[in-house]
Amino acid sequence: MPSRPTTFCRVSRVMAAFFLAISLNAALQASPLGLAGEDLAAAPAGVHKSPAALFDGSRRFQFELYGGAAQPGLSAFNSLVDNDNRIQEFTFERLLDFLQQQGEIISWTKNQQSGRKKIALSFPLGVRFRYRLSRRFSVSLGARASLGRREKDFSFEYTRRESLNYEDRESVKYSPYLLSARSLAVQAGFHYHASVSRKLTLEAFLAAGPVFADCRYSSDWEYIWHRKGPDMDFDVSRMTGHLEEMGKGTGIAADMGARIQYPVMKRLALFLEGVYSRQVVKKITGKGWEIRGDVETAWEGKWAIKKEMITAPWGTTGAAFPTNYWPEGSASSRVGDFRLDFSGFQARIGLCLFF
Amino acid sequence: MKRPVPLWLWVLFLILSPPGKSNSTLFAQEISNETGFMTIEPISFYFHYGSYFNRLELRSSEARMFYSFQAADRDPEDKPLFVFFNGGPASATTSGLMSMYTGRQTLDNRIENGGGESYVPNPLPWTRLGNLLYIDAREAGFSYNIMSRVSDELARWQEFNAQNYNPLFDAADYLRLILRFLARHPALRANRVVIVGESYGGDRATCMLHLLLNYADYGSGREMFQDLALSREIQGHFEAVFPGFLGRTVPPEVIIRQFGHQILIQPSVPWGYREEVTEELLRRPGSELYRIGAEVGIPFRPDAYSDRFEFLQAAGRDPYIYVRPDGWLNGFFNNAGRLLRKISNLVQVTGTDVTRLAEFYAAARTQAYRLANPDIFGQDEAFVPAAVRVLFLDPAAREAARIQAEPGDMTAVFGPLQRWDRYFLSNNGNALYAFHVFNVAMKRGYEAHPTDLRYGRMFLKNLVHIETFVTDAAYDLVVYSKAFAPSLARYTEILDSAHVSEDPLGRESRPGRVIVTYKVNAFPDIPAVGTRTIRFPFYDQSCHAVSLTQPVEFFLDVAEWLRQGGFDID
Repeated sequence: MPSRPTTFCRVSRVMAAFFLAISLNAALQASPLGLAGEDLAAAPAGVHKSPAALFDGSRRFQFELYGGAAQPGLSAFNSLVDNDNRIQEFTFERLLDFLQQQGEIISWTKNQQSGRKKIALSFPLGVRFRYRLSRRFSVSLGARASLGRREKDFSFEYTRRESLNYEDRESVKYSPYLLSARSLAVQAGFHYHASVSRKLTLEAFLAAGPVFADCRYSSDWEYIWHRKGPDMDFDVSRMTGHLEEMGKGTGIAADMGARIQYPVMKRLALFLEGVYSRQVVKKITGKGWEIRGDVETAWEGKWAIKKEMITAPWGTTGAAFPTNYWPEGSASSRVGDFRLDFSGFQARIGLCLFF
Repeated sequence: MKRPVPLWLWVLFLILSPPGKSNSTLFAQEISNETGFMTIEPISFYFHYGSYFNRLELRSSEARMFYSFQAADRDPEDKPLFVFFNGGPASATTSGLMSMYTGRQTLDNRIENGGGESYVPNPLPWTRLGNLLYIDAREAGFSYNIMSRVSDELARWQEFNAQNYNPLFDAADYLRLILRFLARHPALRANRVVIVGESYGGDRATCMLHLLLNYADYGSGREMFQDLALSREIQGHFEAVFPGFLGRTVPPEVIIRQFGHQILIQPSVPWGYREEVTEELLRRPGSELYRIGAEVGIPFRPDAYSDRFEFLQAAGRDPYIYVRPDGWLNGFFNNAGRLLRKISNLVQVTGTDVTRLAEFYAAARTQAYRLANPDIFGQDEAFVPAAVRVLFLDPAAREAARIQAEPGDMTAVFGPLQRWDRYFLSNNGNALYAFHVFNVAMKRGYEAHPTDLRYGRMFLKNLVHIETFVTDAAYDLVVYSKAFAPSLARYTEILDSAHVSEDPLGRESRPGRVIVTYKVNAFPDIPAVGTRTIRFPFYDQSCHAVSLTQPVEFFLDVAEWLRQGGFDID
């Protein structure tokens, strides 16, 4: 039975294909058929030169550096924020409503500074090495890193008032609450370009290759229960904690984009790209650990979607969220695979050096 | 021809050879009276409602729990082990059941105002039935806790919270002690164990048995309370007792071969519904409260009193025995506490030389604490429920004053203690406050108060497997026996009915049973339960502490019930 190709195999194949294309192109140009198309240096003198023709045939190589912003999907990963917000609402607000209805407390108030944030943007940064096959076509090999990260310090506090001037204040301070997702894509591309004016070039391209990704969900927190009354005023309970879940995996990244390029110097051009990038990483595993007071727990597991139902005297709530914590006996709460999905539109700006 | 091995050489060989199965009889550990402190190390446990990362993680203080073991009169290695505890919670067993007609020594119930100036021999000790193990709860009686920053008053206050006081952890303490005691006494390790709990002890027994019967769920995340270390300790014990279950979860049908019987003396369980039903019944015209009102000339008007305790206080009657003046039963508890602070009395009651116990000495308890602030014993009275105040905090405060007047001789023998430490407390007011009024588990919404309905459900689930004996005392208005069956019947999601039957079975002097009929599919994991019967004999002269007021009748009923259960007690 054939074994599944490793990531290394896939990268090797992409690179081999790239160099094969360069070699093939050189061979074809040398052939009497000239299958590689027009000679890059063949434009008649005095005729308007397109931007593509600014570069003579000796400058077939391009090195590109770009950066930008993207709106990655990451909805499954971001659902951790929804889940944490839901738990906070259930374990504080709905509980306090319940206690108030039961007559156990007189009233309660909430004070929250800021809150948990989802990863809304990521920032790709890439390099690309290109070889022009002809006036219209080129192939490329590049690598692109992308970082999406939301790190936020925030706190909330619930105060409940009981009879006889007793007041309990529960406060939780996160410092920080962090979601992070990173990817590194290695891609081979095929580019088609056409001149639209003397200086502007339009380009469409396709690129694909493996993507290596990791994610991290982490928080450091401090919890304080302060009780104040006619005969007391002190912290009845105080605890600090840390939670961290990490994961790594590989997948396939495929980009489809358009680009506009403008020369700024003889060998240098500026370009803008608009890209839809599909990057999905399916099998993610990693370590996790938690410190809660004196208790430390460590684990390692595959990320998957867990369905959690909380049933308490004041109600029930449920949600699905990703985790890599799967203690013994928890398999039945697994409701789906987790995908770290960076797919989305990217806007990039970059510089291109010809040599 | 070889010379035979001389006899003295055989004797020497036998003496020097290690004890093993082949000579276990010869070297069997002698089972005799024993008193000691069992160390319960700091335990990490948590509460959750299904979300692990949102659990309430807690870590207890180290505890040194006091126990006293009295070996059975005959063949102790073949006799069951009776485990006794009182209630409160945080009330002492040593000044309760151990001093009230169960052990070899007792207070004298013929002497009013506390039972006399000394212990007297019990004419009908339970040592005739089996081995007796009395346990003082964490911080109650002689038990004490240990902490690092013991001189810091705020740190001490912080210890009187859910990490040391909640019904399930309290029960876990008891199980740890019992399992470790059995492990230290191989001759008793597989013996049948009968749980004997009084008052809140009924809730404690419920929690203990539920923890035992469902121990795997208390370590796997399925139950609200999670104590993985206990779950593993129970597994270890059962693997020793039932070797066929090595590495496998032992089912309740097997567990009850050892832990299959409970005797509950005026149990508070099911406390939540029982309180409701009790107040309803006592507010009906013709109830005991109306009769008391007529006797004392203070007519009972339901709208004038928030609960029965308020009225009984106004009427000057003891809620534990309403035909007696207020404080009658606590007089016995407090008197026992006073007597037990004299070493000669403690030696007499336990049958052991307690001066050999290193844990008693002040030098061994430099980090011990019993109270948060010794100058503030109770709490703001208005904030505490009337029942807690009347039943526990007031007596505890009175006892505290009494300690000042009659400190006993322990200080002289064991040494002076830190201000926040005590040799003996009948009721620990700070612990009571943590149990009943404020602890973070309760306030965070976990069912960590014994009045929560969960504990009645646990009792009914235990009842499927556990043979149960419950006393029906005529004069007790704290745990009102007439409310027992109706309060069980309120669990309509579990039961079709629960009613009392007075039909005598055989030659019973005191008939009485509660017939409990379960709904089909009452528990998803137990098929077709059907009907269960609770032995429910009536004690017509009894107060809350039935062993004190009708010891002979109680003893005889228990003995007969155990015989019917197949116990070898004769």
